[in-house]
Amino acid sequence: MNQVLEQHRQELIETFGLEDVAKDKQDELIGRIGEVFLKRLFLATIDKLGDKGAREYEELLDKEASVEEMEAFFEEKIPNYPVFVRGVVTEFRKDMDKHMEVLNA
Amino acid sequence: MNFSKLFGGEHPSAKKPEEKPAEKPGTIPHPSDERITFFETTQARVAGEGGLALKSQKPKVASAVVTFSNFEVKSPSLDAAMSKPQVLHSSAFHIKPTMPESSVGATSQPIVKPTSMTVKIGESASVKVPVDKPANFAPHQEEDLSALISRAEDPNTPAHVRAILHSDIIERQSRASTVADVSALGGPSEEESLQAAVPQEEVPVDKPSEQVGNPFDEEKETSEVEQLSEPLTDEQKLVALVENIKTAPVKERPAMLREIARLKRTEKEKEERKEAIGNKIMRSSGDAAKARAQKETLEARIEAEKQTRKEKQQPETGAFLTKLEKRLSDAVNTLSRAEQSYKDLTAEYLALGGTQDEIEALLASNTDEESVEKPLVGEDDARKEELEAIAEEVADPILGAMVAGLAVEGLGEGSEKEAVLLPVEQIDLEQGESLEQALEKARRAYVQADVANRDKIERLSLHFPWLKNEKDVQKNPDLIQLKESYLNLRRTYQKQELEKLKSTPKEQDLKQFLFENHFGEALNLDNEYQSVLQETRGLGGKILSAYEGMGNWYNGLSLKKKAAIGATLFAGSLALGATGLGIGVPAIVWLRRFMAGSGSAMKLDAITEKWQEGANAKRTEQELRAKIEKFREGTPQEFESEIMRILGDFEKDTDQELLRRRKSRAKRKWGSRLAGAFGGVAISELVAHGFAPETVEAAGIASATDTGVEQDMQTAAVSSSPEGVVSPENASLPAGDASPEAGVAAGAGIESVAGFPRDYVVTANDGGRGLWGVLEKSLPAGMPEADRVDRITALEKIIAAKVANLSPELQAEYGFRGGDINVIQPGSTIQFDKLLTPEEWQNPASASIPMAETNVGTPAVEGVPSRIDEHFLDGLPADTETVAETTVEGVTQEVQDGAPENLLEGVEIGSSNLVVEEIPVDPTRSVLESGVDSNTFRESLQNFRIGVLTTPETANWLKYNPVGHAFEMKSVPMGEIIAAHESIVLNGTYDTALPFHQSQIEKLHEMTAEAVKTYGDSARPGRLETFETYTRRLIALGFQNASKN
Repeated sequence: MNQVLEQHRQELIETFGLEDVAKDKQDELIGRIGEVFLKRLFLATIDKLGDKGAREYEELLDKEASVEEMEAFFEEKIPNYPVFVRGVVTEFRKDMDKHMEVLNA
Repeated sequence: MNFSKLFGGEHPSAKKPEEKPAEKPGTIPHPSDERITFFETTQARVAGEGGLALKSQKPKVASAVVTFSNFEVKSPSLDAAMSKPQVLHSSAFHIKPTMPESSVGATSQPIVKPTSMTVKIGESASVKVPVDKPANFAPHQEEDLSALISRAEDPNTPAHVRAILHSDIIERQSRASTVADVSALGGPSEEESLQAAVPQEEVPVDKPSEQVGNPFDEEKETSEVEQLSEPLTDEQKLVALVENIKTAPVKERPAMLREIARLKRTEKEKEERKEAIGNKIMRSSGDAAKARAQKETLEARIEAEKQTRKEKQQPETGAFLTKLEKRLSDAVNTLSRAEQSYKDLTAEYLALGGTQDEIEALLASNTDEESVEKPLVGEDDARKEELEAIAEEVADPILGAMVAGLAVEGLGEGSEKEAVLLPVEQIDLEQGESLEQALEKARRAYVQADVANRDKIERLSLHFPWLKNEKDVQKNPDLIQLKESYLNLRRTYQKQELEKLKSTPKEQDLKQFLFENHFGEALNLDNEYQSVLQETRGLGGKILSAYEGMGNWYNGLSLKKKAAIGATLFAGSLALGATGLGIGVPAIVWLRRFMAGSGSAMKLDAITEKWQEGANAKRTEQELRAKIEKFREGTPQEFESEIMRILGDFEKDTDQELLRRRKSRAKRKWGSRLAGAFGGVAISELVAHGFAPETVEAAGIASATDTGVEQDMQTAAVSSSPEGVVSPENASLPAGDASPEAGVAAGAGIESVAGFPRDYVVTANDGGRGLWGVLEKSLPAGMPEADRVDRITALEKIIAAKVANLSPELQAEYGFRGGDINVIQPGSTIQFDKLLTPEEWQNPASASIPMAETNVGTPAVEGVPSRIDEHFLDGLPADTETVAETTVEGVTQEVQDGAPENLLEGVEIGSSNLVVEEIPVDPTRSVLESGVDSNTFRESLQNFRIGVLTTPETANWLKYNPVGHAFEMKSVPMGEIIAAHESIVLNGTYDTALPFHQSQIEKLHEMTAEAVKTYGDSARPGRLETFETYTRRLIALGFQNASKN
């Protein structure tokens, strides 16, 4: 496996305490984390764009804008993208803690 | 009623005694007589007690007092009683002694029991006779055998009394016979033996009920002989009985048979007890063995657990470990108890007549299977505790209870399981609905209600801020009900899943199951929230399609791809929080690109493929590095051939275009990287091969996501000719009209150059991407990605070089306060027209890049030096055999001026034997003066620096610019770097203030060691020699060495 990818994988495993889980199960859970995270990111992105930005985004989708154009659009609408992503990640982790609390009730 | 009969004595008015034959003492009235009065009974009892000899006397009864429980009725005189018989009769009760009390009740008589009767006969003292005990007609011990026989044969004797008497007679005869035999053998006398034959030991034998309350037993006296002689054992008695029964009178045989039966029963019980003890011995032996094995296993597990914790750097103690230790303690105790039990039982077995051989035979027959199947005493509890500890570690009481329930169930104690399991309500599933579907439905209903409730609270809280409280949010009764319903279904579902683990309830399986189940459900819940939130936001049209398309696309990926993407996205984002740089950056860039492509599955596929291509390229890179680093001999052509051969191995899993690209990149990269070992000439040739025009092509997104170093290399490549001379003609990128030599003044013809950003005010949006983002914006939108990357890279290099040469004031004025082009402040103005010429803007790859030492303080806008030879010579010492002291001082001063103050803190400079105190001779001047082309020298040096700063780690940094880095780090002393490496080796860490990545430090050390190996001591770095001067000296050594060869 690619070294960097493996590094990412290990960090994710440690973050969620998946060390003792079997590898195939780890992969499954990581895949699901990715799915939920992508959905979160997408929704957070739309929220961040606001109504006006969402309409502009829809227009870009309508005209099948290139990836580069889309990137430029997001960059313009969401300054300091890494900070924004970090916020989504933090929220995700907090919510997972809350879910676990509910399940422990 | 005949009172004379009742009282049994003479009475004037009573019937004459002679009317009826005198009773024998103790004679029981015939059953034909319907009633046996108290008196009769008392009469017999008095005789039995021996207080009075009623046998042949006809005493006159003076008075009689009958005492009841709480009152007494006294007859003043018998005469009075006789005259008023109702007085006595009123208090006397006609009771059949043999009738049970219930029968008394059945006669409708008052249920009042007399307790005693005082009888006075004649002048003798009164005798108090207890009457509250059941009458007993059993034979008296002193009654001889003939009297017994007489009574037994008397037809007037009640049948049940006769039966007792018969039994007693037979028993006495049996005893007499046995004693006679024993006496014949020299044993005790007949009479004594009769007594001795009575079993003395307590044997749980069902005695005849008649004997239980026999008051005679209390009077039984033990003869002296009996006290002196040893009683016969049951075995002896049995033998005697068996022998004598054959010759005994027929009527005696039943009693003998009963006794034989009793003795055999006793014998059988003894055997059974022996067998039971034997079983216990086997059990205790098995328990001891099992406890011993368990103890050893637990000791091993504890050791392993401690080791694991140590390796994982976890705390030395934990709930699980504590439970293991407790189990070990229990096992030790169990072992001790089992061993003690084994000793005691063995002694008991031997006492019962067993032998040691029998015990050994028993143990040999004790199968392992039996001992395995039966758990040790207390093991169930220990197992349960251990499982509870596991549940405790996963912090889930529900599942913990289920684990305990599973354990109990596994141990076959259903009732305990019921007690342990949390209550699960009855689940009513709809027809055809599975439990899983019901759970999904309940989850969704709960999440929908929760989101709606939160939205409502959110809206209301605008007016009533105190409503926005987490507890209040949960107080909605409908929500609570839905939540309970969901949790109940979840418990049921988990229980169902848990059932599947019945066959393998190993702790590790359980632990994994619990965690996975717990974590997986939390993810399900979060996923549901996202779906509901998406619905409540009312996403529609293209946006909804994009959202759903992204989800469908992701779900259609293989598990492997999902895991790879999930790890990269999330962990990369996490890394941002820690470092703000490094591995997170590519992930974020990719993530944004991914979001940008979310409208189309095809785009997502393409983006992912590009990303994977980059990942594959890195894998190739690593393998190439491992193989090529070993290649130290041979010509450049052989080297190139080797690269081709190695890359050929990857043809199977890549397309031709990608392979071609990789080949060209590999040649360039490894040609530079091996510069230290091959020398300048080799470098130039390798560069020529690697940077041949046909190998320069658009790198695409893959290159962008692969490594920024590649871009730098490509940029460098297009500026090199096979001869090592910078020439626009050799570059594949479109060259501008103006030549570098033109030295166009800043600002000239700016308006005529499309997109040239004369100046640019930095906005908040630009902060995240730095100069790169600003330049990217300024380029034409339709420009191919590869061209864009190359051009921006080249422009950055030019600007970085020029900014570095500016004074701090000018750096700030031109938009780069602090001199770092990667740091731009919103609100500042970047004055591109002062930093770039139109030609450089249009064709930056063809421009000559000033080296570091170029006239610091001289505005770059005044032109780029046409010849850089001089800059290589700047500050160089005279080409002498020794280094002048002043030169060393000069370098030291440079270090002190340029290096961060903390660089020298905590690092033992020069601790490695690689470094020397005195800087060896720098042959650069000699090399250049000997005719080596300065541009060739410069390119070789630059590529060499790129090579040594490029590691697998830095290759992953998209925006990492090794050229700029090399320039920025020019003043770092090599002693610092070598010492940092030593610290890494010894301590695994180093002072991170040193502006190199660990992999770079390792590589620099490796390169230095290699150079010393190749060129000898002259290649050793001086302790205070800077990175810049050392690398330059090495290249000079390479050229020098090549010319000698």
